[in-house]
Amino acid sequence: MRFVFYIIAGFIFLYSCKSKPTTLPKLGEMDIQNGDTIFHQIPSFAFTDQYGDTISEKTVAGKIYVTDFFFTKCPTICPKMSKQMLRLHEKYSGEKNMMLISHSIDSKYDTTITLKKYAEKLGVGNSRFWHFLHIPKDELNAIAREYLASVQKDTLTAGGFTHTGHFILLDGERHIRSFCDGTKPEEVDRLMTDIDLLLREKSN
Amino acid sequence: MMTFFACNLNEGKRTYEMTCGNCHMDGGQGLVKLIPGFKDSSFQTNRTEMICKVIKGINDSIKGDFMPSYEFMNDAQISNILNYIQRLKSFKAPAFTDKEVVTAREHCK
Repeated sequence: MRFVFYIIAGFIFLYSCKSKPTTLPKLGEMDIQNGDTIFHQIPSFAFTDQYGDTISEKTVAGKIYVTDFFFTKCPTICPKMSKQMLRLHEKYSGEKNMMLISHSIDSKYDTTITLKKYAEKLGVGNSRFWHFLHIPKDELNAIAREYLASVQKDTLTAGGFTHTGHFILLDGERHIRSFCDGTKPEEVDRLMTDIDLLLREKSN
Repeated sequence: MMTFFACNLNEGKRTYEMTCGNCHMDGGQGLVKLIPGFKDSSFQTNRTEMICKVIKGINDSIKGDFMPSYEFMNDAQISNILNYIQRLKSFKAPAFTDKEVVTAREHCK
């Protein structure tokens, strides 16, 4: 009898290990105002994408999005990141409530036209799902900081910039909900499960 | 002799993965139309051009093609990389020699 109990307890224990979280945390610094928790939220923004269209907080309202920081001439980690972003594009481009946003950190070289060419070469030339944003030089650090991303001009690095290779996942209210190393396929696999979770949370 | 040759290929692999592999990918397949893979025919017939691309890089702002210059690499590093790519892709072109790189370097525009 006791033996059976142990077997059952063992199964329950194993099962509890396997159960997945049902919701994602809201990341970043939080504040308490009048008894309410105020979570970190990306403030209003407005940048131009590869089509010359303005992408702002209004465009992403109610949509979850994955974002990163890159530049087209980047000879270090960016192509590996772009390859992983392409996987996300392939899997999710049918989702109406989702977007991909890549911020260019090279305001000088990465004009709208350059970004358009880059998108075309990646085979996403007509995509309205993946937006490549031109970020004015003096606004870059502020927006990167909001996404908890580090971006720096660095003449000693190949390409002239050092920057994070992270993919950051945001919900429909611009709260950071997850992130991963965008150069590693297995990390992006994990992010995909978080995306699925967030998409379900949204549709509920 | 064989060990010596294998050593150079390992060195080529290391250098390739540290520099070239970021864009051309570790398997040498490139990325869609953004970054080309490698062609056996280029290694057969456009050998000087191949070496010069590594040395001078590519900077075509009209087409939007860009590759950094690796002029700082020495002749052996460049030949090791090219030979490693050949092995990686099972190409049949003859191995690059350091001398070939020296000669090409003088002719690169």
